Amino acid sequence: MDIWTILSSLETTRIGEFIQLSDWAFPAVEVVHVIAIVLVYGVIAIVDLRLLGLAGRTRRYADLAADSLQLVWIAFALAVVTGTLMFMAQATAYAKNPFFLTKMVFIALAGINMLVMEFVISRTRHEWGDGQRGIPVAARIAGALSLSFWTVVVVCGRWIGFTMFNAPF
Amino acid sequence: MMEFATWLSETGMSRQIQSHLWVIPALQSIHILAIACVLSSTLFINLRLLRQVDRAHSLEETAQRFLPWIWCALGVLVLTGVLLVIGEPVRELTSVPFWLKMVLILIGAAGTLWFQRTLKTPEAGWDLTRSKTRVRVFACGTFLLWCAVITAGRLIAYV
Repeated sequence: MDIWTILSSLETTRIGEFIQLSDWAFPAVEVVHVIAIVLVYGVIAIVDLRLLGLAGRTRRYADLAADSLQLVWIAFALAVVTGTLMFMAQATAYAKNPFFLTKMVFIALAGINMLVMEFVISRTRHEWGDGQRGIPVAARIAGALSLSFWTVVVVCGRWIGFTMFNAPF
Repeated sequence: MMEFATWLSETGMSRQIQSHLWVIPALQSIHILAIACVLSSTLFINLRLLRQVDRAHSLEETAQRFLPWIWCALGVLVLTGVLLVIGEPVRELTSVPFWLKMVLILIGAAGTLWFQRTLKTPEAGWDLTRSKTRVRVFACGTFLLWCAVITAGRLIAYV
């Protein structure tokens, strides 16, 4: 069984068909997806801008990271669930869309960056202190990469709506 | 409104926006990044009101940190929003969700302004222990309000 057979079988599942045929299901799922990704981006940006010293310089990074972690995960989980639902409605078309594929690559890059930050760079975060000087260069780079990757994810996401076969703008 | 929208769609600026296919998605992308700033900043202020985040700092400090971001982002939203209307006047101005969104934005901006103005007056009571209901209603209400703004905005594409 090749990938295209699997993808087209997703479209004929009950959920796939329902989202495709219903008048309200796709817009409803899309609205939740937008709110979720907006929160993922916004909360991550608050953390990244702190790492870069562009905002919240008086905040301890460790405190900010602790405040944000749960919020980001809840919003990200919501974005993945709603994203999967939209994907199931037109799996083969999404899989051929260059903006969708780029978006997936950049989510993966953001994920790798996050893992490196979480398990390598920020292990010493409790020693970083309040000011900007305590933030290691590696952490600033991770912040810049994170902000760039997620910006590409959001922009590609919007562009999918303009390039998909029969998705409304 | 239809007449005005049609007239607007024939102006030079509208034609400029329409003739480049990348302009509308680019404006919408900036629009989304800016609303991310508004919603997340509101969320942090509201969670501070509920004493869930930024506990090492006072409410005033949290508000002073995030309010300027909200107002700047709202400026970007108005600018990109106006350009989107000029680019697609009939789609926007004849849409019910569009006008609903405009009303909700006014309420959201008024609520934020009211919070900012009454932040330092002690009788307004933004202390969770003293005015539990008021703080909770404001915190949940404004967050849901901006979510409703996003919802109405996305529904312009459908209704």
